[in-house]
Amino acid sequence: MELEKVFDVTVEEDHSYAPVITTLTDRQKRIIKIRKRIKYCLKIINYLLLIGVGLTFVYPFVWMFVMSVRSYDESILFSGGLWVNEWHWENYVEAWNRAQFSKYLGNSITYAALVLGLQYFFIVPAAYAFARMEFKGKGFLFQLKQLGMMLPGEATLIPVYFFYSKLGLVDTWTGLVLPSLFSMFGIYMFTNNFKTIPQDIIESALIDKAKNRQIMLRIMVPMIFPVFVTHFLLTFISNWNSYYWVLVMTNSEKLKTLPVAVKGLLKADGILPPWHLVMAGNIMQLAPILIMYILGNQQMKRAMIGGRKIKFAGGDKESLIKRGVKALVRKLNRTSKEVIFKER
Amino acid sequence: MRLKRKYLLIFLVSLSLFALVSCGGDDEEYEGNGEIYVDKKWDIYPTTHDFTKPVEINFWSANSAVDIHGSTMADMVEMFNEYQRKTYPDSYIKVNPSFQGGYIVQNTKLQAAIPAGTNPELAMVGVSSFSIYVDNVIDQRQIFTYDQIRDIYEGFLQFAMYRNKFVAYPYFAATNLLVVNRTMMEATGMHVPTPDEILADRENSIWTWDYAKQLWKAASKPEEGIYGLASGGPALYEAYYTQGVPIYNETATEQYINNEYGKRAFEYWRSLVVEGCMLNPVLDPNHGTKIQGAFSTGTVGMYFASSSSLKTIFENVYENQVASGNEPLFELDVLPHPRNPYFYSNQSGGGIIVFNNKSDVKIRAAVEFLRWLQAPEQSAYYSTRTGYLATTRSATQTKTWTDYAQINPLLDRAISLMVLTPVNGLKIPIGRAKALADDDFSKYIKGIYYDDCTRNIDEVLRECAERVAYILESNSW
Repeated sequence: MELEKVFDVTVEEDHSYAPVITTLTDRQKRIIKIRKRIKYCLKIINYLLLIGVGLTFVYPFVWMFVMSVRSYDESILFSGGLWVNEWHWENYVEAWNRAQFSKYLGNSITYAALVLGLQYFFIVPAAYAFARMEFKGKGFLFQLKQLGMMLPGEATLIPVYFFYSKLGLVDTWTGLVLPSLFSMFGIYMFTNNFKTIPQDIIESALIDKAKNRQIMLRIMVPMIFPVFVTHFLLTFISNWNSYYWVLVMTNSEKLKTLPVAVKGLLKADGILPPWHLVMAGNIMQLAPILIMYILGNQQMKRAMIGGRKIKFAGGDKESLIKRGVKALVRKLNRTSKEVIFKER
Repeated sequence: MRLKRKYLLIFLVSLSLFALVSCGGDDEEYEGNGEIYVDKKWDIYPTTHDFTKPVEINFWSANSAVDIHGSTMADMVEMFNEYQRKTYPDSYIKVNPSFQGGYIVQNTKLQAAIPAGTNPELAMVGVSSFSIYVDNVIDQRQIFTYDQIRDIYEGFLQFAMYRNKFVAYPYFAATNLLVVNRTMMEATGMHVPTPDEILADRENSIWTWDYAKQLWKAASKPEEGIYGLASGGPALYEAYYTQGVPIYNETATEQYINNEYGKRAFEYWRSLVVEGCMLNPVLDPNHGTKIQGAFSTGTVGMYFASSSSLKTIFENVYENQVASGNEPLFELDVLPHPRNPYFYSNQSGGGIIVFNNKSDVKIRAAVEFLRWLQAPEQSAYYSTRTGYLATTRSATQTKTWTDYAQINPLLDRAISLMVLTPVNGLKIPIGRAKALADDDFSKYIKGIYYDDCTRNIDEVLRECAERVAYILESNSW
């Protein structure tokens, strides 16, 4: 029987490593070969599965795009195929005009900007307080907010509308953005991430007489930047697509947003919807989200599933501390300079 | 510990309160919904414009501002406002329209707005929701004269009556009918009746369940994907009322589904698929959407649809083709559901309600606006622009209507079918649970098509009856 020499590593008693020559039988070689082949096949299957799953995610978007450039006659057949006989780019212009995009686009931008611009003034301090401060009723308040998150928005819509209409908040920007300013999702997300920041950093900052505001803004927020970006993107997507809330809380057209207008393209009472225009409208409404996702998807991935470059939440503790201390030193330097300047 | 006990106590008290509230019911029992011409002494709001200063009122439409229904209503409101400003510069009425984008959203808002007192003066409400607002609206017989009410088609009046109250003015009306590709159906060599022919001699009309099936079969070539008929599912109301029996009692609290009439209807609708007259509607989740396209492209001979789609279909098959210098795709027509032995056209839609929790001045302003909308010229204008059926006879006499009928005769023909109301003294049921029951019935009845049309009919019938009975029982109060 032909033998083959291979290298292996064994541990000697004196704890020094030395190569040991072992021999493999034909059977063992065959097993290794089969194992390799199985691994190779599994890899192929894995890729095929990934491609399949990927296609199921991509297909609806591609189909939506294909429908958006079809003629009316072609679109009403509602074919699931991706072939286009005649390309009708003018559908986009017609959808823009019919859904009065120029009017509603401004409202969508205003709505998203108001929420994104104002909510961090409320949710970051609230999250900091829940994560790092001790006060009476903290647990109860947190549970209460969690309960609010568990209830579907539709379930509380009637009482919410009742109070809003009593307070004169219906059909106003204030009423529209108010609940988003205290988003439990945001508070929860930031609280959990604030909690993962090592206590050493906070304590060293406290020793140096840093105030809560300084710790929160100068140390903690920069340390969870990917989470911040992720939350920013998620909030943008959710507000940009917000349909039911906007529809309920507005009466006049001066505040209604794009999803409401695009839905209007479907028409009411069973009339044949102009699918080509509906899809063109959807693509136009989706475009900003896609752009933002492309720009921010790396940060989102990092925050969602972690990554080598992330230096928080169970990551490299030493570097976290270093970064925290550096931020603190920078801040204290600046403060001492300011003090000197003021004294002069 | 004390805190927990406190919360538990509050929770228990709240539960008890809910239980007490739910025990309290409506003391009044209603056998039916009443008769519009005898239950009410006519005493109406003044017909004069009696205001000392401008009045502003709100009108909620369930449509979207960007669809044809909403934009037409917005135009009409603007016309009214303009007319008021010119006619009464110091005491005009200004209507603020608001487009809610759907009945469900609007109902949700109104449920909260009514107790808060922030509801509008008028709202467009779907027929299935009339019963919800019966206590919050003024009887329309305080707004319109006897003659004006007599002018409304009987079927539309019936769906606007609930618990002896004329709840809503029927303004957004539609009927279910068969849209016909006459070119394709006549190519079978069989006679295809016209609405006029049917209405001239209803009792002896050849347009029966059996004849229609023969015609659909003759037009079908299943191997080529061509079918005589397309439908999203069986026609619920027509299946029973054409046999002279109802599905529910008048207030929609009891069902009459599981009987020999139901069995006959179920067997008939299943045989249409088994014998290749129509495509099985449960095979494709997008069936309802696809058949609309299939009809427009000429692979379906008849299509069971709402009259509100007539305008769009006509534009697609005829108007747009002619405008681009082509021949119309085919000749279009409408027909009622075939008789067995009676004809019946299910009439439904939405109406306008006037809320009773506003000041007298605001209610009078709302009344004036509604009367303006109801006037024949305005009614015809709205109908011809949107595809809803005109609900009054006088609207169909206007120049706007007759001119439009010259171009598109389909709406006019659909309106001629409005005389096909229930027979044997039956009335269209109206009740709180009707819409929900209809929804579930239309889902459960499709059981006749599952398992390749092999399920036991009696079993499906029983399932439908049990489900509908449960819905009616749990949602009627």
